Amino acid sequence: MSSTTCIEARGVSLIKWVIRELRGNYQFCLLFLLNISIGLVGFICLDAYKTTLSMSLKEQAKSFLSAELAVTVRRLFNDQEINKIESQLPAGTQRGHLREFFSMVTSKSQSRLVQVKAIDQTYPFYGQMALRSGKKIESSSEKEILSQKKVWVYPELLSQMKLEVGDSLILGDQNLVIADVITDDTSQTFRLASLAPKIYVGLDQIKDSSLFSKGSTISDVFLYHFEKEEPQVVAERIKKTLQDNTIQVLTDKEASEDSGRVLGYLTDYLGLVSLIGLFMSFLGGVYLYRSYLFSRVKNVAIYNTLGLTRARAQLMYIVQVAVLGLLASLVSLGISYSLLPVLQKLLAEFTPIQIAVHIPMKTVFLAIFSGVVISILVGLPFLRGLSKIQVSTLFQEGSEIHLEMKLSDLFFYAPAAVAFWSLTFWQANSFMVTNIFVSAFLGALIILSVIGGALLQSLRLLQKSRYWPVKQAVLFFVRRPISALVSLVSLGLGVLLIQLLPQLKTSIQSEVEMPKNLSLPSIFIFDIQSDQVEILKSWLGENNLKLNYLSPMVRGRIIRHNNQTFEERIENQNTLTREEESEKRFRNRAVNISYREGLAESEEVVQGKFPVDPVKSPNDIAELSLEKKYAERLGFKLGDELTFDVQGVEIKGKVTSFRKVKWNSFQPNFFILIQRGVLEDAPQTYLGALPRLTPEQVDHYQKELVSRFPNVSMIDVTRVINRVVELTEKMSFSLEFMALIALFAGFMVIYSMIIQQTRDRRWDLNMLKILGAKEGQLAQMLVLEFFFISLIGTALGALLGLGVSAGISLFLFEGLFVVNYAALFGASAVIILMCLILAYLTTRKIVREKPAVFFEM
Amino acid sequence: MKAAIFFIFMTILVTQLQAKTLLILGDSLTEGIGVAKDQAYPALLEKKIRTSGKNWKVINAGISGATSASGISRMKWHMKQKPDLVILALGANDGLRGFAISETEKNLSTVIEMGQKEKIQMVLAGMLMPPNYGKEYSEKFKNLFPKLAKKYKVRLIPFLLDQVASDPSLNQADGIHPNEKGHQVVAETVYKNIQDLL
Repeated sequence: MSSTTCIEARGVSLIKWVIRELRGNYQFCLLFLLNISIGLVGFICLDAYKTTLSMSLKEQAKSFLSAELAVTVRRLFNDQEINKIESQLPAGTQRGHLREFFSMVTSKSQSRLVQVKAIDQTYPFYGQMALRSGKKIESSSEKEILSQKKVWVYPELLSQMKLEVGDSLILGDQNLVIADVITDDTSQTFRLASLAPKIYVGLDQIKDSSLFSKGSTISDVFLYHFEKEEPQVVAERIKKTLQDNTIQVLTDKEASEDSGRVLGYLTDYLGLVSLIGLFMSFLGGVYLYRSYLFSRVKNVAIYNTLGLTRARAQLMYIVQVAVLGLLASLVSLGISYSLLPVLQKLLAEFTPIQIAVHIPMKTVFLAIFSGVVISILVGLPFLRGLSKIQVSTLFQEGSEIHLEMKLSDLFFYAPAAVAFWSLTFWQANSFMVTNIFVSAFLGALIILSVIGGALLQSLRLLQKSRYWPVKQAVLFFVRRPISALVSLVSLGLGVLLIQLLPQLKTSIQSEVEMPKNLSLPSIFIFDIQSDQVEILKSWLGENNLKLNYLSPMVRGRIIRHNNQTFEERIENQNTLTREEESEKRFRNRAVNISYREGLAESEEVVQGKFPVDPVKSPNDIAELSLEKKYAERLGFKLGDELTFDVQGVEIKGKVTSFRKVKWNSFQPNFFILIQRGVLEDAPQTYLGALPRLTPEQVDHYQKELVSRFPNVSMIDVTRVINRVVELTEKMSFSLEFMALIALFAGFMVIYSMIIQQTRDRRWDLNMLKILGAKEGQLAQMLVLEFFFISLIGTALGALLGLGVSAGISLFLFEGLFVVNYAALFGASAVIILMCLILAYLTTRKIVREKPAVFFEM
Repeated sequence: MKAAIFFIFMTILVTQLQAKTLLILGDSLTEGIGVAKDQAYPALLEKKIRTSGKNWKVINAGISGATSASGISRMKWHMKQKPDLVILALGANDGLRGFAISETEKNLSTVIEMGQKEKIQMVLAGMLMPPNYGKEYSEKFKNLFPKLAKKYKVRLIPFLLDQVASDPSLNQADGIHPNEKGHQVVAETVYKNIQDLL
């Protein structure tokens, strides 16, 4: 002790003291490091993964469009229009030109409908095509179809027309040689499944042909590649300049919207996971630091008596936490860098466009900032307490000496709160999401404190219990209500954060995944006439095939909604904006109405009751089941009456249920389903699907079907489905993986909190041991104590976790929310069990300690 | 005698008062995709006929995406209403999907025969294929309608979208379907070609 008498006079460096303090408390240091490091590793890795995934998705979006911006019209552009468009582009923009259209190609023996893509040298600015010969076609690649009368074709065209590479095709008045076969094409979006196979040809080879003349239904497309400005900004400028609703201006973002929506959920989820991980680790850190500082109160009082100023003591502990924070940041960065190859592998599962996973500099900076600054900020309120330590503290008994706190001390929590708000904003990039998340967290803190406190108080009723361990356990809550409440609130918040991840994951997964036991199709067959259904079924039966999901389709117009005219007349389309015209035309479109005995696997009723039985009388008003989003868009509510015009006959229906439909299920689904017994006799066609077949079978049956049922149309969806199924499975795996990592981190945090809580109880337990309590009694007492705390904390935390998940789902993920019961009960049970086991083990350890330990405290 | 004269007079009067039915069996062009029902050409045609003092009811039997194959079952359904005149405006989707011309011909022939068997006056609306479908296919398609009209001795509207096709001011953004103004022109075209049959 003598060395401490003249700490400052002797000039012993602060750092030396800090190191000495840390060495003397290595258990706390390890737990603190573990907590902060786990959170930071999660934060850094997920942030790096999210950033790279977003970059890949942006690149992928560009490859769908093959440029930043496309301007297209269903005719040929004139020079004046092109000049207007190009006057709005940033300097240095590169231009590409292509034309897309349907046409008939002819071989020696037959004709076939194809989708022609006539390209120039620049195509594609982004993405690539793979050819059977092994060539990869990018913007800079040499393209033989540009300078020669040659064509690249999709493989199905060869089998459909019995052609081979080297054979000729006639397109318009041009004789073109098949030079290669396209095996992969990144410009193909997930949804695009064309009626006809694609062929690529050089634009200059056919530019002057008779294919392009008055009346041609072609899409003339100009693609623009630039980097200096945001595509959306340029697109808006072009739209304003053109003032022509027939010209479409598309950005890369809009082109990938359909396929990017679900992937967007994933990146949002990853952002939340990393944030929650960080919150969780700092929550653990705060708890540990608070316990640590309280355990050092007596030492500080001794230092004060020996001449160390309070400010100096505060500084010492600030440096301590900063050193630990810095160490945690460096350790986390080291671990994160070593995990990059794993992340790279995971990323490869999602997108063909590979960008090396890297930790952005801002993430490195933020990790160090969080480790050092936030560690100090969260410790600030407790460090403030050090300035109030009195020498009289030395004469107090107990393991935990409370520092006097005033209401004004809450002000010292403000910097940490601001830091967390800023971090959340940095991750979410939205004021609304940030405020919701932070408010939800603060709200949960208040609810936990109020309800948890009240429940702990209610345990006083057990104080009169004759059973000694119960009485002692309850006495702890009575004597140290603040300490008990802090334990309960910390545990509750930890459980809340742990619950958030699997609950949100389940909600997203339910959207992403396909229904179980779903028979995926390979060919969609539509336009089957009523009198062809049985013939087709029987022919397929002879070939051991079944026509799945056979659905009737009746076309009708909605003419009245609750006796009000539904359609919107357009007197002059030139007075409408692009969006207004599109919305009005959407209302004026006839709709496909179907009927079925029950719900398909890919849909569920979310409101009301599905009409299973047919109408009793043909004059009854039929019940309608509408797809929820469709109903929302058109303002239909349950109980509304809709009147349809079906081929001149008016049919009335009442909306009795809303359905949620999984459109990625590849099952025929409809916006409107009507009760059976109403439209059976109306003119209708049928839609069906053939089950999964090998590529050879797909070719074979397509050819057979065309020759036997020439009016029937088919779409081969194998390629599209394979891509979606693959992506879905991988995304699902990634969600599981991330949730598991976060759960593991959460459990580690809870573990260190419980360990610290049990360590805090050592003094009491030793006292009771000296007073004659037996090991069994002590174990029962501590286990009961932790049972009460963990039960209340876990139950409240889990319920709040459910509530917050539902709220986040509502705002971030379009209201998708599915409860994960396994996580709700499983994780809660594991946490309670972990508390009880650790409490028991701690008692055993303490009982084996020598009574002399008591004097060391 | 007086009674007989009264009976004949009443019969003539009732016949005059009872509206005749004109059925237009077609696709999205007839359905009026994207425009309100009363702005699609069948509704405009009915107005035009009524303005001329004739009592006709026009049934819009247009279905988007319909091919000529659907004409047969739909004709059966609509024959229950005993139409007096049928305009057969199908075939465009067959062409756009590249169906064999012979198949379209077979389907349209069946529908015409069904109508003629029931003594219904049949009118055929001609269609053209856009030039990008190739000269050979477009020519064959174009010739199909006059050929059928001649074979079955039915009135032919040479081209349903006459003066409308390829005029951006008369079409929606897709360049295929007429807008409100386009439907007015189509109604006029149809009226001109059938007014003597009404």
